[in-house]
Amino acid sequence: MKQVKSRIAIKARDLRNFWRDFSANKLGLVGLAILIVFFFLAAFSPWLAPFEPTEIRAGPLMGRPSEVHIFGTDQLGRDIFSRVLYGTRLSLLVGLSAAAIAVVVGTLVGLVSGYYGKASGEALMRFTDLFLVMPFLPLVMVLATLLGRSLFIIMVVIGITSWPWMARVIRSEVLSLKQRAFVERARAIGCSNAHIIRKHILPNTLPLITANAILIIPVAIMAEASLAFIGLGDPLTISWGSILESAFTNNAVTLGLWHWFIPPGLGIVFLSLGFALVGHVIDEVVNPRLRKKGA
Amino acid sequence: MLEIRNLDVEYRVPGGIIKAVNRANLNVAEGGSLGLAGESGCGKSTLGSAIMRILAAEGRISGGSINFDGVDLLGLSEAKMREVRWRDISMIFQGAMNSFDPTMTIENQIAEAIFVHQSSVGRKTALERAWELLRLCEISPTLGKRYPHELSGGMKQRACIAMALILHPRMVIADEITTALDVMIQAQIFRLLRKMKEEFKLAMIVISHDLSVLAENCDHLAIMYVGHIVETGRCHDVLHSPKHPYVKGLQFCIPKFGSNREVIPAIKGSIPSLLSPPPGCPFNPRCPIAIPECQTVPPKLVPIDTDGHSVACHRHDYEGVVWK
Repeated sequence: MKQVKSRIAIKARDLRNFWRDFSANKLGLVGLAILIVFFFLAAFSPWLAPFEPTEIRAGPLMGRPSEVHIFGTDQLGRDIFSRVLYGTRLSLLVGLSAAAIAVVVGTLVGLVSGYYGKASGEALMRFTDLFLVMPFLPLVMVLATLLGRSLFIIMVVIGITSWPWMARVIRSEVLSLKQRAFVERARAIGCSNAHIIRKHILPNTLPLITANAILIIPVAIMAEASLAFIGLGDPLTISWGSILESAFTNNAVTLGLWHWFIPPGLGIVFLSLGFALVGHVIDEVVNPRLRKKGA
Repeated sequence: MLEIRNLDVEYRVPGGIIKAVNRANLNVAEGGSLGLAGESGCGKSTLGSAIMRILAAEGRISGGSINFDGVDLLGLSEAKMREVRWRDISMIFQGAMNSFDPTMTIENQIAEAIFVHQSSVGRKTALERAWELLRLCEISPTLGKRYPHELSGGMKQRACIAMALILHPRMVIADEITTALDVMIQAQIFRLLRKMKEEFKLAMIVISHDLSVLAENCDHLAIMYVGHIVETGRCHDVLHSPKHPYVKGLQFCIPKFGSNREVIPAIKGSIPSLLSPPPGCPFNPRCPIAIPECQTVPPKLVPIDTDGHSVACHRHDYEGVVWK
């Protein structure tokens, strides 16, 4: 029991050190604050939203902002403010789950191809290159059309198109790690390859995985918004992309209905910014080579 | 106990294939200690890794045999060889360099061999054994909870010794274990190593480029030059009556106290490229007493007395002064 306690103590000390380095960077804190706000909005949207987001004729059709509808209403009279609030949930959900898929696939491919070098590794990498050179949006469009327009499919499609980059990053790290003396030590001890990958290579790439995972999230959020905007989103969900799409098809831009497209647009921008800032600062903390001099 | 016969090790490099170890023959007796010396790149560490069969991906054992207690190690499957590693033969690495995984505590790395080899042993017992060995190696077991970067070079080297002994192996290969440490710590580490050798009745191969370290700690010595074992025998014989001109040259490399600022004579020239070694004896371009035969016929390691003193040189019976 005592031993377990001290193990936890070690982890706590690591976390404190990490927080000290992280909080030294103002941009990271700004990013974190943005994320906290969005997570709060997403978690409490049912209580914060004045109307049901799907309620038709909650107000006038395409109404201007008023005290009741602060972002106005859309072409069906639905409250845009409530829809933007609920859209936060979807963006976070898609961003996090697509990133999770990309991280799992990318890490696996990166570890295996980096560690086993030779023919199998090379083959995996050429396969990765194949995905990497495919233009992202057209591929997602084709897949989304083929596989259907459900939310789940969209998450999977974004996930499986975002991993190649991750795989390359992990692979290059593994290539350098496996040359290190401690891997030779592990082999001499009699560890199997699977054991070495799991116990030595993976923990050493974990910081890199974390930083990159967070950087994939904004990409996934953008991808979902783009899909919804061109009409390939799940028609049954409320997302920032689909609000933008309805604004666009109802000529909100030419009619000067800024309250219709600015809020979801800003939502996408700031949520992505929040993740990008946090991700870059974590990358900087865990990767000493990126640290500024004197920091 | 360990018999190496005609061992060849090759590395595939961009320019072709290099022979890092060339027809090496070695014996280590039960409880004996062999020092393996030579300059950087002469193949001494490669020989150590070859015994464990943990050569880098570019390396390959292309011939010969390694016999450990009657078992041909080169004939074992990879799975069987994994069992031999650490249980029968273990290694002490250069601990001051990064031979510890930075993400794992010292005690977990010491006990790792137990987790890997003896899955029936519980975590608690394994860690207790690790602490026991830390204590034997004169490190407080409480340091086991620390990460490698929190220990000094000397402490890490001690932890490395503890790690090598965790499964009570019969033979330990110590590869340049004091290279990055200062002389004081070096002496401490070797004192500890000798103590452990007694305690565990170990056979040892000590790899180093430092002849004085080997002279102090080993009973037999093998000198390597570009992949060839050029002279081997009892420490005293090799160091006091060397027969190979290269080994004779090495004698002068140790400066003597009180020798009035005399210039240390250097062996002229530099080691040949392993990609295109000279024909005949590898030392012939630098050898002051080379004869035409040296440029064509590679000399074999032949015994020159009954105590196992062997030399690979056509002119091992040359009595004159080789180096001035």
